[in-house]
Amino acid sequence: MISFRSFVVVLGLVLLGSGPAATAQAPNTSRSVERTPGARPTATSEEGGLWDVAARLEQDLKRSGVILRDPALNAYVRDMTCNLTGPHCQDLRVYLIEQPVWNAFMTPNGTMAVYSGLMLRMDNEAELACVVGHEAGHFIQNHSLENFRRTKSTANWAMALGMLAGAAGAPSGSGELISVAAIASILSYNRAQESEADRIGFNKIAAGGYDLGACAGVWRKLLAEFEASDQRRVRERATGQSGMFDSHPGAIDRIAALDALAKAGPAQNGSLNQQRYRAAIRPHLKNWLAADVRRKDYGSSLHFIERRIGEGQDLGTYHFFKGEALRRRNKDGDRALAKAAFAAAINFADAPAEAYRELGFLHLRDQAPKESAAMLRAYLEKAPEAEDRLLIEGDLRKLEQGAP
Amino acid sequence: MIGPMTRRGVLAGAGALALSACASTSQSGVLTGAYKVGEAYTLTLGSGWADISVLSNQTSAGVRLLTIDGPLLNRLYATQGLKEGQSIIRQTGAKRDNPLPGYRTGMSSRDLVEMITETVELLGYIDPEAMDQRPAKFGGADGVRFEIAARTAQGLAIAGTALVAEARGRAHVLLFLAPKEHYFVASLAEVESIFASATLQP
Repeated sequence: MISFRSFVVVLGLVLLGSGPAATAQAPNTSRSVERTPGARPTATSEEGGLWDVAARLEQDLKRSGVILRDPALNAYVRDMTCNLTGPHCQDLRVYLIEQPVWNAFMTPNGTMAVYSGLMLRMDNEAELACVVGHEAGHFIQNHSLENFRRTKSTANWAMALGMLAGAAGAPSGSGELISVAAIASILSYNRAQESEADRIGFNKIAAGGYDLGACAGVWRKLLAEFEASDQRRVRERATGQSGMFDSHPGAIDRIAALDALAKAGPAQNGSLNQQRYRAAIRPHLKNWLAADVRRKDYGSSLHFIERRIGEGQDLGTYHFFKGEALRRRNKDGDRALAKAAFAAAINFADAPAEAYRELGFLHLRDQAPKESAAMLRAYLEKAPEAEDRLLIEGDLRKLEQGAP
Repeated sequence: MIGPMTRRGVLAGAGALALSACASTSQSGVLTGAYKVGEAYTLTLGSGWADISVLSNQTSAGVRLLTIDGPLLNRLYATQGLKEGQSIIRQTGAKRDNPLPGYRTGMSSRDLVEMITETVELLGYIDPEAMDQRPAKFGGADGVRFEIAARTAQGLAIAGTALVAEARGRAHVLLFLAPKEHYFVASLAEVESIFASATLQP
């Protein structure tokens, strides 16, 4: 489903969107100047033109069907962003995009987008703060204006931002490679800019009292998940075999740079705020996981889900979606593994009622009608208003009549 | 996805297909009456439908796409019998990494519903939900009927209804989608009539 476009957007715009990686010791060759909080460009300036284009993208985003409007989660991310960015908070507007994409981006006028696929995978608030701090860094240092002056083409920017709007709202199965490539080439930041944004993000989390290892942790997870992907082109990005982004840095270099910053950083017992973060995203967990499994990169989904299961939280939910990924993948042996996952799920109070239904179907496939009927009845007891109630009741009648 | 187009454009496309369907076709390309969907079944269309299958670059061979006011305002997909492994969605290079939702012999009702909602998502709609799932007849065959709620990337609420059944080793699908506001309700009675008219070929 989401596959290539999503991962390329990630690669192009967020993480691998620069030249070869700089190390923590590398000199900052960017000529960017930190913007004054609250500063607005004049309408006739070149930056004003950029802002105008970006404002139109922002309006499209606001009206789109992909914006997550949950007031509580938006307030949580907004507060975290403001704590992180201080006086620049007034210039930033964070939009949460409900798409199973590991992505975030910043446009020239302070419009920041953070995708649910990324939030799902962040282990804690410190990791999300790294991403937000990094994106804010691009804005604070005027990186898009630098790039504009480099490309000298408003038309290119308008095109790229228009594509970005499309990419943000596009259904996961309908991405077009050429659009993504154009976006990546036009909106990507250069080596110095990316390194600078990394440093800003790192400094922000350090100042915020977060764990200093969190930023490198984001990259490690990205790299590991790319390597676990079912999709060859995604795996090639993890190993640097892709031609399209050959000139961009690898995650390994980025991890080394961030590790070096953490090692040289202030000694502090930084916070992760894991429980607060998990509580904030928990109301959306099932929807986000369902969307993640639907994109059909089961290697990627299972890698992430197994990591969560290992942590011991929300186990009914994660075991269920492990079962869903296995059931849908349907390779040799997956059915038994799915059955085991659903069986594990129902041991926990947060298991979706559908875990009982899936167990019922799998028992039926295994020629165990009594067990199947028991599970299907349990499903209907737990979900009396289920949309498929009439179908399940029909299945139960067939089971009681001894039909296969 | 099919882009915005004028009614005239739609009808021009329909005209090119006029000879491929059995329904009587007016000079403007509008279909009415009996409409044969391949060798699988026949539908009875009311007035105003046009076959724009030739304009669809998303669907696989054997999937008919009909509309009254243009595909952005109402669209009816009719498969002429999905074969084992066949999807409503056309396989393209960009999607090759991803298995498409396809028909497998012996699918459960849940599997059939899931195949359609995944298809709707791949057609470009966001978060399709299957509601009010219930047993139904497709021609004489046992099938599943359900309603669909989704939205476009631009935030427009979309409503849909689907009828799907397995018969003789093939999956037959009728899927209607339209903006929830006005267009879905405006065509619903006609769509119900078409669903009820489905007659499997002997």
